[in-house]
Amino acid sequence: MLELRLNPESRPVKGQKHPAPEGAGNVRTFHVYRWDPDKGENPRIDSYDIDLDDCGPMVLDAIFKIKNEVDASLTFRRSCREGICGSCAMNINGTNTLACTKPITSIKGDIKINPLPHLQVVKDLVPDMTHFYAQYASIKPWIRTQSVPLPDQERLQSQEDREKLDGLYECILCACCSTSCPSYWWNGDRYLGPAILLQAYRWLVDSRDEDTGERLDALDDPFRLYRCHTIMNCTSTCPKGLNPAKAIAETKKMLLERTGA
Amino acid sequence: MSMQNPLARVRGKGSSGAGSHHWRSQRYSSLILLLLTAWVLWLGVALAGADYASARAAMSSPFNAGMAILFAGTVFYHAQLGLQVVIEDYVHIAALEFALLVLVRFACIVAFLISAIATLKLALGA
Repeated sequence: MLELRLNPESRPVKGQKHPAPEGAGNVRTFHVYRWDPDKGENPRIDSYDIDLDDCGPMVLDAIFKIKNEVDASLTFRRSCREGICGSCAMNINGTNTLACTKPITSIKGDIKINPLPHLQVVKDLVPDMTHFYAQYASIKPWIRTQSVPLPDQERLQSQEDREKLDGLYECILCACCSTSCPSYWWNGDRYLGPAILLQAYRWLVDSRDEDTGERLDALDDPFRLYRCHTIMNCTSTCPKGLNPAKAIAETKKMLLERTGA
Repeated sequence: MSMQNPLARVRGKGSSGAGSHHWRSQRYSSLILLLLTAWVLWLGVALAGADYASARAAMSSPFNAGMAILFAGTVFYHAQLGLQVVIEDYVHIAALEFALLVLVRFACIVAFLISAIATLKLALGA
């Protein structure tokens, strides 16, 4: 059933306050979600006053500063720090985005940092992505062909056909879109969500793929695809500026075309 | 606690192959309703202030009676499709979900029958 509140043991409580060092000039407060599975306590929101004059420009830099200088137990994922790996996806001031490409100056006032919504939390800002990755595997995201390739030739693609993959291949699977989707919150067990459906469409329009019909068969389901109610949170939150809602609409159109009205 | 592989859980019982029909029916019925609602509004304006006899005379036209029955049928068909989505979205107790889906379908069929018979009664002057 639809749940509007978290379980009592999952509701965050007020946590510790870490003031800025003496003499700090340009101070901003970061409220960070903390939860340690080993302690058996409720999650808490710790506050950290950070001197921005002594910190890098992005939200991820501030998180690093907290981990390096204030509390080494703060746990989060990160890798590339340039928006290409998708590891540092989190909810910053109510919007899912990548901490590494989110400038601190783009946010007014205190900065609230939470893990991606509606996923199980492993620790602090690290959500459990197991189900999301299993959903990705379920669409078989690789080229599937019937024809036998020539041994000395690649599978060629025209420039026009290659252009159809623009706006799709850039997806880094950070899960910002899927975890911003209310339909994915309520029915994520069966609904594939915008990220996976954009990836599915990426293979549906690849001119080299020869399994389009089977791919459409697998999506023609009231839950897997049609839980999308064009809420469009996915498109407005995507840190790469992609449009998963359009990819889903195009997929629905392909299914419509194949039945013929 | 289940030790089932996450991919097995996602693949589940497979694709039902029935999603696009529901989606298509919902869109088409809404398009038809746009036209029929315009007709209903036109009829309502035309009959504004008229007495029962003239309303009855209007509905005795086979065209008007047919359109009214078609309107009722499309309204309750569309309502049933829409409510089904809402229930599937938000009700996750299997028995309750099933009961509500059956109830909504039944209620929409009954509501259509009542509307159709009332229209026929008016049109045929029983």
